[in-house]
Amino acid sequence: MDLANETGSRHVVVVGGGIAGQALCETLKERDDGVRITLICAEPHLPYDRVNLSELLAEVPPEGPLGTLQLRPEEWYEDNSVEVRLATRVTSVDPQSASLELDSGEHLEFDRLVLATGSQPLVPPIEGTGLDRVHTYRGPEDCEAIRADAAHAEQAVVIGGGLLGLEAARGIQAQRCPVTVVHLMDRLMERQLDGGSAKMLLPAMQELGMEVELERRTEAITGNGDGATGLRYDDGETLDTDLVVISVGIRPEVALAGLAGLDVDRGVMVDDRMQTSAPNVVALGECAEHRGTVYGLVAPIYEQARVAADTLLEIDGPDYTGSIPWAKLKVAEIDLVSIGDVNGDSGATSSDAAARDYRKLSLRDGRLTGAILLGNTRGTEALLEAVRSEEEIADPLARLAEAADSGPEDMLDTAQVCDCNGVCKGDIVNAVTEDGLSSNQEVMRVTRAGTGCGSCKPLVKELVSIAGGGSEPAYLCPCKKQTREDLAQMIIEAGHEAVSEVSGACGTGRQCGLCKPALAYLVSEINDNRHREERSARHVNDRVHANVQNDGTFSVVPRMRGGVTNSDQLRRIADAADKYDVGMIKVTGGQRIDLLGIKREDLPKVWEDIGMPSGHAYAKAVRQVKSCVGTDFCRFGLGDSIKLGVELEDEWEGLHTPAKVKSGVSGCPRNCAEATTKDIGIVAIEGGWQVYVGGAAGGTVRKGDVVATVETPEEAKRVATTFLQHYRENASFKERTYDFVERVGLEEIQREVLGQKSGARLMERYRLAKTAAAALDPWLERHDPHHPKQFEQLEPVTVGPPAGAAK
Amino acid sequence: MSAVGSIEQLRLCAEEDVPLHEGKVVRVGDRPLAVFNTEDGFRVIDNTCTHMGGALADGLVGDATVACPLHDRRFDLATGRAVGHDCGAVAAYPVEVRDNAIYASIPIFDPGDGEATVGGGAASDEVTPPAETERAQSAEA
Repeated sequence: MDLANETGSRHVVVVGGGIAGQALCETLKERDDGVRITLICAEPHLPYDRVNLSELLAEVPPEGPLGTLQLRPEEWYEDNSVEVRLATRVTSVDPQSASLELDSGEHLEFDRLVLATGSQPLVPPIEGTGLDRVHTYRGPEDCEAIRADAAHAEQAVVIGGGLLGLEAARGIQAQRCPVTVVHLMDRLMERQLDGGSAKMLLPAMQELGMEVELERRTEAITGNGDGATGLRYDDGETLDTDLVVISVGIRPEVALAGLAGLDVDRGVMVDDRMQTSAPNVVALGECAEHRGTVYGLVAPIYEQARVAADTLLEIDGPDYTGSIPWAKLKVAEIDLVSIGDVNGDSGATSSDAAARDYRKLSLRDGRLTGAILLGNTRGTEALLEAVRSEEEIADPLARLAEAADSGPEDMLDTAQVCDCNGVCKGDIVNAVTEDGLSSNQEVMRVTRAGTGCGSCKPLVKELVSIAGGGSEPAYLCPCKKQTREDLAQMIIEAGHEAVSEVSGACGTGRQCGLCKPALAYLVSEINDNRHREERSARHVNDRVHANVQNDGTFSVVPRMRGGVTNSDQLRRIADAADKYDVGMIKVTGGQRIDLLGIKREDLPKVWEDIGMPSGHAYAKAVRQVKSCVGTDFCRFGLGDSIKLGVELEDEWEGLHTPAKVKSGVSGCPRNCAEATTKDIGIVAIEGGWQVYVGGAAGGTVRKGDVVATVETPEEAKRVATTFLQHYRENASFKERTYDFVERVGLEEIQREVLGQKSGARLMERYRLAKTAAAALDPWLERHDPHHPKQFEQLEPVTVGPPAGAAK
Repeated sequence: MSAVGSIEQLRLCAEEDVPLHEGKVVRVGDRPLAVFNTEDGFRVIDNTCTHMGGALADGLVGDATVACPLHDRRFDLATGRAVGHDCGAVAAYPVEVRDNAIYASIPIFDPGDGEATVGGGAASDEVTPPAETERAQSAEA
């Protein structure tokens, strides 16, 4: 393998397989793909994304011990000729002879050495830290051990109320184990927050069910032979616990640097070129100390990696002059951003405790040094940029308001979006406008924006959409600023089964009410109708299974498949109409009968009397399948449209859809069932059947498009059903098929519906959804109401004259 | 409304009559009121939407507002104020919960003909916000 040496390329040995080591390998390879790299990792894993470690705490990842956190697949190292030594430690280094020894006994020579040895968790010098059921929180193994203990523990404690401590506490809660955070200081996250914002964060954490004890100095962890049993504070008070997680900070790992004789203070000392006191050794990441600062955050690593790579390759580049520390709290329910030095000599604060919204700018000598955004974090990027450039600010309050209003469209092209990979707004815009990329995934893969810590992903998506010409993406609801696709992905990933879970996970949990039915549909569709039903998320029509009229009464339309009825049904309908004083009996356009003007409390009785299932005329669901008389009686009929209409309606009955779906089957091209202007229409022709989709004859008139012409009614049924499922999975809420077909395009629909694999998958999901839906005729709730007062009126309250005694 | 009346605290219904995050209508004299069970406690406002008369009790509840089921006009549940439209406010009534029942303080007027009339009282902006009510039941996350 000396080919590289022969071509004159250098051999760089990187010690440390964390984010810093990986970032440096990536940057080196970008600058010079001939450089030879050996990466030495003490851990038995390839480099992984430690920033999102809390994911491993929350649940056992199905993909293996690292879940989806592994930064690059194994092939990447092969493809880029990076030689990796896992579970290997360096035992000694000699910069002068440019060589090192591994614990395997192997001897390695290098041209340049990189120290990216990271840090160790800080363990306070107190009694009991060696007990069982006491863990630090640093790697996947820690997560596994904590998760295993939390499954049996009755009360967990996290010592340390910083960013990592709070994340660890949330992870433990996900194991349904009660948790108390014990913190030395008088406020949480004191490094990132000021008093005001910390005061607002505290109740938010408590509402999540977390106990928080502030100003508590732990003197000892007490225990017995079995493991930890409690904490003892310095005032003698105690706390019972059977699981202790220590997360009080980090200590740079400098042992190797010390052995090598490098200058070490808190960390390995580096200059503005990331060079240590030895000319052939650089250091970066959490083990390095630059101008007196050791950074424990991810963004500075990438800035350091760029300068370190330049130094190693002797490229003239900008110096590293330090980073603005900033952090985003990754506890799903709370959005919190802290930038820079938040305790300046002046500034401005806007705070609304009820709305849990806190925004602060911090200034020193009239220049911006830091900011805190809690609740509404809009303007983060603008403020980051302003802090970086130490913007001079005359009226901080006005600047604060301006930042809150600034959207991604106001950002400069040079503004950095992804700090991890140094991607600017302009790079993302170019990827869309010049390279012609359109999907978020493509843009992220090509620009690498959003592939580091992931915190900028929402912004990247917004920029992709803006660059694509849409000034604003099609949000499911303006109150959420999230698209249907984003929410669907979130529901799938988190396994949400109810609307309230989704709302809770959407940032601040804001919920205008009007988008609940859309979320309810999304949750039911993704869970194949095996969701947890929350009636408060449904429109009144779907709470009482009838259509509300302008006078507050309701209308009842029973199922009458294919528009075919009989004398017995008609008799029962007539009797019920008399008995409940129905205001009007109307034959609908869809060949059904509508009973109008029924009082809510009479609904269950009417359903019972007519004894027919719900026609779903009130719901966003499959309505009727209208049919003409077809071959049985008509002298022109080419196909048995009644049979097919009845079968289809029977097949689809009870399925909810993004918007109502009206259908029709015509027995010949004379089209008496008006099938060509239905959402789904089937028309018999000589020798076969045409399947139309996206027709309309309402406010919009549109002739449907022929998806396919097939030979048998069975095939027609399958194509129509596959389209129905494709529409159910991909349309926006309230988007009728005529808009959906135009938006997506007929070709794409044909590919999905007629494709063998995709068609089979759609049918499979359709069957899953259908099995759960078929069990439910909503009108059976007359026997088993969802709530005791679902259909009932409450007792009126009588009032007498004001002076009277009547109650 | 020049007739002088008094404000009476009336029992409207039991707590369990109103499902969480939903509303129910209670007719008080000649006036239909809407009782809501929200995360922040119970709220009582006039039931009749100022736009086209829809029953607000049947609306969708979110962000401390209700949206009318007929045409989505929204109202603040604590104050009755119109949210995002200019069809006017509805009256809101102070609420108290005790012994598992919901009480509201409602102005009763005597127009002089011996019949009692239930008043919406002053314009909503002047109606005192509901007293801090006990939390109904903790919303299961």
